Amino acid sequence: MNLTLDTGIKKDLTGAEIATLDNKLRTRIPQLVGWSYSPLTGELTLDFGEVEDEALKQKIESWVAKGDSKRKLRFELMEMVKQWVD
Amino acid sequence: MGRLTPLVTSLKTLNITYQTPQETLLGTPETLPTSEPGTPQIGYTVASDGLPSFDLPPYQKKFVAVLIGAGKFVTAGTVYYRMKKNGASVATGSNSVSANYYYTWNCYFYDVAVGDVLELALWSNQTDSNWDYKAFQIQVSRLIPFNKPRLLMPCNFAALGTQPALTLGNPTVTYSSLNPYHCDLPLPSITAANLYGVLYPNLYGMFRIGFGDSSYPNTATVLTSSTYRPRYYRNWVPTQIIVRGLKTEGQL
Repeated sequence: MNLTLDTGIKKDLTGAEIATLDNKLRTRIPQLVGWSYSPLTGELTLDFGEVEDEALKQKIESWVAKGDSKRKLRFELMEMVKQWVD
Repeated sequence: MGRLTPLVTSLKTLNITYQTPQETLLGTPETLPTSEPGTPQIGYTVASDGLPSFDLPPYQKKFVAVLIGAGKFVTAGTVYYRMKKNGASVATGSNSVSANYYYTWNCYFYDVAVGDVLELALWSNQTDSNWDYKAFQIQVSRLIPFNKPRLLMPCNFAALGTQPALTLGNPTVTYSSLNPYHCDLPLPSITAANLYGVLYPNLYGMFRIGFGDSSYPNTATVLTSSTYRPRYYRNWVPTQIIVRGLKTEGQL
């Protein structure tokens, strides 16, 4: 199950910045399997793998389905990204 | 009110030939570095003899490069990647890999041209992870046979195949269906020959391939396995399309 967010930031990350972002994402979202970021589009795709945990599945689906929750998640992620960009 | 004056072409057959993928399995796996390598381990240059060939030159086509890199983790960890096109970063990211599992990065570069240098850099947070497999192939998407006439009556996807067909390592495949379009609206995806009475290709052409255009353009996705390497995606692609163009006054 994937969730794609438009960060609005198109930045070419260094290897060190990738490590920092990876650490922050995995600390905040322990269920995360992987992620991809495009400096061309600014899109950040979160990969939760084949989600079998029903609670997590519902949580992700609620992020996708509910605009407010999605915006909230985006805001939380943006705060992380800002910390890392700054 | 104008009078429509149809101009019909003969029934034309467009055959598409895909080149055999370039594929390498290292005799000795290379250890992944624990920071990003200065020079990516895997790189290919798009060459004219690597492009799909057409017996009728189409009006529009977009080439998609499929680049695959794979290896193994002994200790559970994280594999990082960066895709580069002509030295510029296209996508980055990471993925978790379990202990004694193989990983396969399926990377897609959308809209490539002859001379483009496409690379994949891999690194890890473990000292006992490696890579030992790479593959490369160019596919085609968003095909339009003629500019004028653009309206196709009929458009027969007469033969389909799946690409890339990889053989080295111990491969396993997941398939992605072909996505036909009419006036930029998606039609139900197909995995077998299909005849459309009318089809008008526009921005998205007659079809978009699954991985590399409809999904994951200019990015990558990873598959892991305890048994298979590479574990990769194959697209359903057209190999023969039979069409007749119909020109009308107005724009069609």
